[in-house]
Amino acid sequence: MNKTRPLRIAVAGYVDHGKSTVIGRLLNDTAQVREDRFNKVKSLCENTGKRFEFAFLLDALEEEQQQGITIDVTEVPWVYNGREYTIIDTPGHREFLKNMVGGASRADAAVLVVDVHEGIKEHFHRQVAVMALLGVPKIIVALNKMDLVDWSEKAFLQREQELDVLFKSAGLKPPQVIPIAAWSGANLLSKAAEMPWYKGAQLAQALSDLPPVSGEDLAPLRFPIQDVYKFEEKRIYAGRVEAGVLEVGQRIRFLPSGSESVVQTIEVYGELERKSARPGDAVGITLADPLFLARGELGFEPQHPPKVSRTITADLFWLAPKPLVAGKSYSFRCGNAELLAQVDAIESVMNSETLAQGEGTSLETGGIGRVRLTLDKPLAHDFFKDGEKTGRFVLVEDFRVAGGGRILSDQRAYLSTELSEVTVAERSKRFGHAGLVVWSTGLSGSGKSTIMRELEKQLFAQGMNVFVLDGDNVRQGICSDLGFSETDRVENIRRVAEVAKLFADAGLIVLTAFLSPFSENRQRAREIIGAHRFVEVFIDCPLEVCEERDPKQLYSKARQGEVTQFTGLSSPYEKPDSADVILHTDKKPVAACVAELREYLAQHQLRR
Amino acid sequence: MMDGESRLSALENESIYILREAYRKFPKLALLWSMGKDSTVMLWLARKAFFGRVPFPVAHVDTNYKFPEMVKYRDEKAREWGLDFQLGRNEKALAAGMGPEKGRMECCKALKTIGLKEFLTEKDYRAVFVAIRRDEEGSRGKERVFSPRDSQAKWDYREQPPEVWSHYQSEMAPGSHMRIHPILHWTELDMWLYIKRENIPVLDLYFSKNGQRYRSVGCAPCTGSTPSLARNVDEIIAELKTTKVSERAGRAQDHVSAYAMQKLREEGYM
Repeated sequence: MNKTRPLRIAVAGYVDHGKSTVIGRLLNDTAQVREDRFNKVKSLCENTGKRFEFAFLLDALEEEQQQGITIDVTEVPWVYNGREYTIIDTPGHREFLKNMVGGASRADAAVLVVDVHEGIKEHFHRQVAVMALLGVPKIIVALNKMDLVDWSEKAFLQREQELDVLFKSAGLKPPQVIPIAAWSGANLLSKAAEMPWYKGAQLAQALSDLPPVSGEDLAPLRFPIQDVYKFEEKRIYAGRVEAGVLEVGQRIRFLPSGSESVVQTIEVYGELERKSARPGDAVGITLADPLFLARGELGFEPQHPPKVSRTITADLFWLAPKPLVAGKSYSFRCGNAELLAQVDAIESVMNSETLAQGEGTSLETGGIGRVRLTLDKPLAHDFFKDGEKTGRFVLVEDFRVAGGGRILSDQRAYLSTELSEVTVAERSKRFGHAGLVVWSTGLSGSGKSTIMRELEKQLFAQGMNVFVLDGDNVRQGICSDLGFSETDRVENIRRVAEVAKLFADAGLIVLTAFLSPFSENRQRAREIIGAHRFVEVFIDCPLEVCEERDPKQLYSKARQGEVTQFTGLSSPYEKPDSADVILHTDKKPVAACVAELREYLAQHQLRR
Repeated sequence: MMDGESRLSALENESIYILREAYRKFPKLALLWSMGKDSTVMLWLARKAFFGRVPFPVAHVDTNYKFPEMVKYRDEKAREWGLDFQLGRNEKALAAGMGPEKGRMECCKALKTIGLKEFLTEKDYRAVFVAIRRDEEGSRGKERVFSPRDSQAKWDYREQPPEVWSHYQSEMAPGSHMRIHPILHWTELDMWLYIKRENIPVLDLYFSKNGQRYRSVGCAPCTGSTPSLARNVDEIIAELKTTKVSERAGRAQDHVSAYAMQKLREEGYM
């Protein structure tokens, strides 16, 4: 099915350059203004002794009509040549830039109205830069008030040249430029007799020539979770397809959690059997497994993953009255994901005259710059160039959208799972198993290392690529700078998780044996490694038994005060409440525990 | 000509997204239902967004001046659709004899603006779904999807929050509330095309009897009928494609003065 919606055209322009008049005339000259609305404007103008103001058809607020400016954005439907449009009338006054951004952010194309006589003002440069940043795909410039320059081709060409230079510095292709006179309707709908030298399209024709909106269904699937509803026995994951096609029976993975399942049904109320959903569709899905998924998780096909980042580089426009400064934190929203972002650095600030990037320490209202942000949690996203909808974000301050940006491709920035040309599937095929991390946790002396070493021996004998990470081999090298304070222990676990992640990326089975006493820490490890290849094993053994075993004499040292902050005695151990496997080493011998663990892995993980 | 189904589906998808976003952000909210076609379509969309159940209360701020058939229709549908229905009314103003003869603006303000404000305060709702559309009249054209109101329910149309890439303002200062407009982007014709597609039951008042029908339905004393021969949904669609008169021409409060609706809405009218 050919899926089209009205094309959205943002019309912008500086105060008094004639933007609302252009729209008013397009509506009026195609007979799309209702009579009583026309008459209301007519009598209003007659009563105040003005000529008919086409702009008043849109600028409906009292202040707008009295001051002759557009304060806020509005939308009107328009039909031309059988095609449907939504015209978005956006203000041009600098003070109302935030309203322009709101309007332009939902546009498929923009018409910028420029007074040929007054020429290109600094504010116009900013508008072009913002449009470029928003990713408005096509910009047409209507050079208005050609009558004031005697319909001169020379004046037109000069402005056209200036526009080419300006657009180039904003990183855009030269715009289509059309000479018009809005008050008389010249070159809006029909050819202007006064400008025989102009051979190009009239404005309405140029809008007709715009390509249809692409549905982005050829892109890889992106399905962010907007909310999860539990109605009766059904768990419905609601969301809007942002790119690609969602299909029943498809494998779907979610980041940052790493959970994976199969799309069981697509739920649309009133439809019995929906088989697929396309970009823009707000649907619900059920999954074969009852996954715990929070709002903001991003669903995708396993072979086309998004990026996962804690730091991003972005080009950003700023709208809030208070300037953006480095060091400050803002609410961060990308799709349905909501995080906190701290501005690490303002790398450059754009000069609004030349559009060149230069140095700067803050972004003022209306400013544009390049920033580095650190997020409080991992974010699943795309680079803007690969996927607009999942590659852009806003910052929020004082409850309001304060700025927005596009995420730049920056190899420093993201934690890639798929940098290599060699795929995960190819590695699994060669090794006969997928990369996996078996993460054990338990008190000192509970038997973590013993069990993991035994498991390593058995799996290796079976032909698997397996390796144990424990305190003995990690603390000697990669973590030799760390002590045993709480901060150092947290950092130790973070590094272990990162190393385990790389080994798992390489296709190895990694067995870890660390006390890892804090749940939050283990949760972080799960996030870093990816939940779909993370098995948590709780080696559950009572403190008294561990203390009695005391293989390294640590308990006795702790009791004598030689070791401080000792887990179980002077520092807490937070038991996992949802471990995948629990082994009671006080009740079963090592061999039985290892057998139990192998049984679990065979059933759940190693088959893949 | 474009595929009309797709146009409607795109509108529907956007509304459903907004409804779900609002419900997520404001668990304590209600949907305002006047039984007119717009809020009935909004209610229909809410049923679709939440898979057949409306997970929040549906409220009617009654003025006691509604057409009797509206009340009957309301009670019938509330039962049929399993709604958690609530009624708000400015009893004090009604007891003091408020009515359109005291002045249309005064009456709208007392029975609708203040009626709504008191209802929201009394029930402690932080947000309310309202079925206004941009193409209804000029000041609504300037609205936001998530439109904050201060503690006096006032609309600060000079300083509206930016809405960028489907990111709406979703938090606000204590004491204020949010008006959420899920069908802001629909036109009058869209409403009827959708009513046809979905076969949504609407009030009989919209259909022509003796050469007259109501295009927009409000309180009986202030709603005028318009000459029309459209007796069913198809005929209404055909009529709207050629009409030269706008939808709210029959709503008296809009025409009290040039900026009447802007003034009413600034004070908290729907």
